[in-house]
Amino acid sequence: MPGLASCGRCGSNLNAQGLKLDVNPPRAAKWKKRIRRPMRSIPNFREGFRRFRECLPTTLFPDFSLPELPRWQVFVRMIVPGWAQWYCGFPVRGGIYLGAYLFCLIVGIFLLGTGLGNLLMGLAVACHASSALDIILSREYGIRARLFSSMIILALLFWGLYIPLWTFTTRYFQPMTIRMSMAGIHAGDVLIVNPRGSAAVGESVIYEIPPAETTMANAGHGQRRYVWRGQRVDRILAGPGQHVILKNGKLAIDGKSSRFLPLAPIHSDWTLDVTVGPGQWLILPTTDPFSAMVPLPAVCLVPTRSITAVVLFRSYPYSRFGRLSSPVPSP
Amino acid sequence: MARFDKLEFEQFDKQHPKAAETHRAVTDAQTWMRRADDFRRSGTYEGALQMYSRALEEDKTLIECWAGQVQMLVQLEEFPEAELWSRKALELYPGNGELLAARAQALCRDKKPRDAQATVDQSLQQAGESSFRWMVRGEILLMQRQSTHKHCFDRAMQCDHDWLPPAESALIYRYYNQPSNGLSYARLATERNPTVPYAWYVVARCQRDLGMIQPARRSLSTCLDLKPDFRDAQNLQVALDSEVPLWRQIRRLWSR
Repeated sequence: MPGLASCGRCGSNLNAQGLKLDVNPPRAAKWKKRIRRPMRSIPNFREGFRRFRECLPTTLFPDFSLPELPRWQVFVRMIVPGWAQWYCGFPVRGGIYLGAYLFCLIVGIFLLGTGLGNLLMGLAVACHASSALDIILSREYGIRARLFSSMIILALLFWGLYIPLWTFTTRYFQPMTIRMSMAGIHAGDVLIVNPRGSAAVGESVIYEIPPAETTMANAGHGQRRYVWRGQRVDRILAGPGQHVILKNGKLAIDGKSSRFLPLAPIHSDWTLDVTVGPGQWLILPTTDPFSAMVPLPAVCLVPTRSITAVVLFRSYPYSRFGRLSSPVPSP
Repeated sequence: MARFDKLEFEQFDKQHPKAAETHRAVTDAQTWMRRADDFRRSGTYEGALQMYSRALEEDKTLIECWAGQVQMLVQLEEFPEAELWSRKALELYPGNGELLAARAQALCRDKKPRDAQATVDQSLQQAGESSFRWMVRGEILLMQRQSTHKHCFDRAMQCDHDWLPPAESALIYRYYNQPSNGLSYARLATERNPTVPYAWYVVARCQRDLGMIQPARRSLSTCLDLKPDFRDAQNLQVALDSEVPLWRQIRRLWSR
């Protein structure tokens, strides 16, 4: 219709011919184009992140509305991470929870006692808690119900599953990280010990060294006083009633050469002629940094109550994985 | 033929001088547009852009020229400028499908696939159909690495039986480092019109990207037979001659 400025259908300007417009487009300078060209190969991180953020929930975690299932059946399945999700018809979601949990748990067990191992074990527990909370938060809608249910479930998980499991496991298997290097054992090594293990000849044990003192040199300036106490690691060489003779670095038990050797070489100047009393074990403190000065036999006869744990094996580092070995005696 | 007796040519101009002037202006704009198209078909995008601008100076209602300007800016790798210009054109013609598609292409090359996708969808909803819209849609899908891009390009080929859409499709594939797909479209362009030197040049570019040096040389020689003064083809031939194969380099070393 005459007089109209724009098309009623498409909105096009009907007076464009009469408008004063610059019809020459803006142009990019040569240097701009030169800069832009290599920049094209740089990925658009913002766009990539946006796409990732949009795609991830829709592909891996589709809209989560739980079917009406018996509560107790879902509740029971929370004991295994991801099982409840699987039961509710979300196998991918459940698989992700279970996969993450197993990964953290298995790698954490292999690195038990190290900082990373502890972190991974914590993450495994967190994965389990998340999988339980995931179910609860999608079922309960009120804030109070959510908080209350979450607290109950988390308390049940921790007090009903993990703390008993940890308590039971650490009765028989306990990681022990070595803080100070000793002969044959380095700082950072992780020993798996059994606190309930029974002492026997040939076993490597963690024990409290019998307290002893040695004073070196004359009184006055330059006098050094050594005090032995605290935990040590070494092998039990003889049991109650056995007669031990140590001379020139050779150890004889009941007149025969000993089958077992301590964890570090025996000092050649050590001499010993002693019968191990009842309730005592003979352990030479060869791994002690000042072993050359230990007063024998005061520190080598260890009462049974002072043996705190039996060493099962060294779990870390993997290059020294296995039972603690004794040095091969020189011929 | 009594019904043609009353047609008034000379008399109409005399009676309506303003209308006649408008008619002449439109004719001039059409000329510029034709020249722009010629430049575009010879791969001279800078010249085509200038011609489109001249056509618009004569007649600002030529939407093809607005869209052509945006397309030329895209071909000249001035993507932000193309996007800006397409927005300006869309202010005048908001619902035009070609302009929307041109904007979508500019957005796509400017790494904004989300906006580009929305714009091209809007473009396809407009009345009419064109090969360019389908090509842009294919390009956006190609950028997003979706397998359906091929269908869009095939649809574009069905919409227009000219040689230009396949050649420009080949250029799009080349831009996204897929010269093998590009080569099939470039060959289609030469099949549709074997006398166009620019189509042979595009074939040669794709073949060179694929490392097919001898076929690229043959395509270039065909191109130069058709247009001996084709500067880009000459430059490409020089570049091809300088690319000596490894075994020949080794032989040269041995001969020294």
